[in-house]
Amino acid sequence: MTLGYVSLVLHAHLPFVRHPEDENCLEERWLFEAITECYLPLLDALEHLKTDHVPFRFTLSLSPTLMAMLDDPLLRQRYLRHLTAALELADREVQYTAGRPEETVAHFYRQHLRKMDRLYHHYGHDLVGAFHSFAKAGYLDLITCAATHGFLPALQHQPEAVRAQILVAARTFERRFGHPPRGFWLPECGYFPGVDHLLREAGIQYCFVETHAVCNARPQARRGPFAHGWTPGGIAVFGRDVSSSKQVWSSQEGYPGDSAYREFYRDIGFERDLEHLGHLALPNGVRTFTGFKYHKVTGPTEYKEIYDRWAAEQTAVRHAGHFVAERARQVATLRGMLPPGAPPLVVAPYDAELYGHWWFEGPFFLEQVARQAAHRRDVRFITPGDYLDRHPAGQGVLEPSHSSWGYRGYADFWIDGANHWLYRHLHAAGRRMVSLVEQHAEPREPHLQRALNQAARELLLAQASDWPFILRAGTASDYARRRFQAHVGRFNRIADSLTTQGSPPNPWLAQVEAADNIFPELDYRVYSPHQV
Amino acid sequence: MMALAFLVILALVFAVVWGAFGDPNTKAKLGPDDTNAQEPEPFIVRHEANQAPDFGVVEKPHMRPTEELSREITLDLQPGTARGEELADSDLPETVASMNLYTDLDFALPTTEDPVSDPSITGLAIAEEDDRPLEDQRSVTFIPDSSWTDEMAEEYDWSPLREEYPLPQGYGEDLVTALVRNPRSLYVYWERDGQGEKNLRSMLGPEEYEETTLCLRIFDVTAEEEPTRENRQSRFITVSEHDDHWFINDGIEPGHRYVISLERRTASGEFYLLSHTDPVHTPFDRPAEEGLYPMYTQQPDTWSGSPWR
Repeated sequence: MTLGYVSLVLHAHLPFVRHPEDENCLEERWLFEAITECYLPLLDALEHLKTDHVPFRFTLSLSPTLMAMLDDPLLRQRYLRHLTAALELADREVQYTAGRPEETVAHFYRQHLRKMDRLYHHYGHDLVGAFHSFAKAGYLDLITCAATHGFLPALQHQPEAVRAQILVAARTFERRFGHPPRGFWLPECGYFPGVDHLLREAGIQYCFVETHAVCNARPQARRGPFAHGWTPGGIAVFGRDVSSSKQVWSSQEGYPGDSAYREFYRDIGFERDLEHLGHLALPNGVRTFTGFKYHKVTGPTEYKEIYDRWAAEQTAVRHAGHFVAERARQVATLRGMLPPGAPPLVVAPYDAELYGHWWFEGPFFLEQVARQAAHRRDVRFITPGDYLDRHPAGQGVLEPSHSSWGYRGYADFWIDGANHWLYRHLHAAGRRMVSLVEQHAEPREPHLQRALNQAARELLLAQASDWPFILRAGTASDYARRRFQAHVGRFNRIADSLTTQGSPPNPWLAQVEAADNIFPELDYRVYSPHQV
Repeated sequence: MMALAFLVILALVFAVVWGAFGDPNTKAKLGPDDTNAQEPEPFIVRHEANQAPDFGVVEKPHMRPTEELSREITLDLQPGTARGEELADSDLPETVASMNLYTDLDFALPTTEDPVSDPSITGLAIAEEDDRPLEDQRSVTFIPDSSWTDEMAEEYDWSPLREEYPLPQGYGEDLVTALVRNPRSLYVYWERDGQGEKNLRSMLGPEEYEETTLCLRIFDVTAEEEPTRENRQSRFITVSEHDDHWFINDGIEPGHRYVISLERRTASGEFYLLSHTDPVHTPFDRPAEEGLYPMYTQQPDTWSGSPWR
């Protein structure tokens, strides 16, 4: 008998980083590392499940910026170069570590990278297509996210800006996959009352919110986050479950902190000679992560032992068993505690990049969860869309509270001393965009339309939640500041020239278009305040 | 003479209040208003100390849900109607149907062909073979733009992309915007490059204007279903002329609505409104009152109330 359901939701997102002007851009490595360590291993795990006919279903949100980068020919070509450099380094590492304790790990990396290389070529370099094929085979439910991952609560007094973020994403998704998205990942789980109406307008059926958004909802959510509620705007909201997230997320008590798993911060990129590292070190001598990490977490000490893949895999199997058993226990408990009604649903969302990039064994863990879950009857892994089809009523209408899944549960992280200054420019640009659309409701000249479309693209790119996030976290602050300033600057330049000269200079516009080439089908009238 | 001046000011104030707040549509407009060719009225409201200006903003109560709404929405999404049907039958892949997710509780094994080695799933294959119009295609229609390669990128002149654009100092507006940080904190930023202060200066005269201080006033407009001046509670924070933002970290309550205004306060305690925000709602920070629900926040083995123990 099924006592309850679990939905695993992975949210894959990276900011749009594409620098045709810089062949060795450090920030483009974010994408390359994520492909090698996260997206390809996830696909590999799915391949294993498919080969062994293990039934499993989870939800994957691919942000439109990530999809654009995975589809971009220039970035694909650069990724291949990066992968080749990693394979060459793997060969050198095998020689270098011969007879030393790291030798087995070096062999493991070489084998692993060769496998990822084969897989990448097998999919024809088209990872979005590969995920789509698994969606068609029933393993995945693909959903979308805001166009450039804008933190919507900080834009809430500009409904046109929020609408554009949602509509552009929904249209991009439909263009890519041939059907409209059913679900929507709110960037950073940022919900505010009213966003539901805009989601509904775009044809979205459900979205995810943080636990306390549902628990603090008005009126009371009688089933807590264990069933969806319907917002007044007609969107089903699924609340995040606390305990399942904590088991995976928490660095203290979560699985990834286990001593057998790979240590993230010890990387040969900071140890070996630059010459030895080859193309994985930047030409200007800046050292960075290479993905070759020979140590395990070991414990809260400086001393780290050598990584043992076999032991790590055994631990992942054990943790997967624990995870599935805990979910079974959780739904059984909930079934007894909750008022009578539909079986409870435990929603466990994670950043996809956690699996593989931060937690190296994550994709393997996920595969093991699927295997362990396959023969259980008390708890079943389905997607929120499936749950909605089975139990549409949920717990009735409720208005979730304004919230996010970030630090302290609200907007503190994105509106902070380190990043507050960007909102005045963002909001001014939003107001300006709306008035431009009103002025040019029916553009007659194509170059005017081009300029307005590019202005809309620049505004969307400036709205990414990644810039305030990075500024607050202080990891790549200078890069985030430059990017934000560049997009706002390009937007203002286009807007200025539209008001003074009629349109921006053509060669300049062409270059900006070639660089910020996201959303080729964008129509700037998405910012129209009179949309139906 | 004094009486005449007072009358003139009174008439001006009346005109401004009517002009700025009488018509809510005027306020909601963004960008230049070219329907009104007249010179815009100065954006100043004079009112006595401890009396709040009427912002002319009355919103519907925050809580909207009703039983009817619940039925409406749920009915709309019953399986077999509207989108439910579409998804249950035609759109779902065969494998999902064979997993019996929609009819039975038991899973079955996936049965479709190997989707990855199936050539029909790669974007280009479909794009070449499928000559239906784009909107009719139900499969991948993406054709990567192969026009950009690293070699081409190298030859291109990218110098415009390396330009640094200084951010504007201001946008020539009088405005205040408030953003919610958490249930007990707001972030407020403002700009006062516009006409408001110039008008105020000419109205008060330079001497009296010099004695005014800039301040933020915080109005709690939670109980605004019957807006009366009495139930408006306000307090003010004096800010410096150089400030352009403020983190209001105390006195903000969860589940309330606030309007923040930027005003100038004279030595005698009178306030002159420069601009104000739209009402902002702070989130609730606890569950709804009636019948508190015991939230499942602990691991099952430490949960003593479990009937399964």
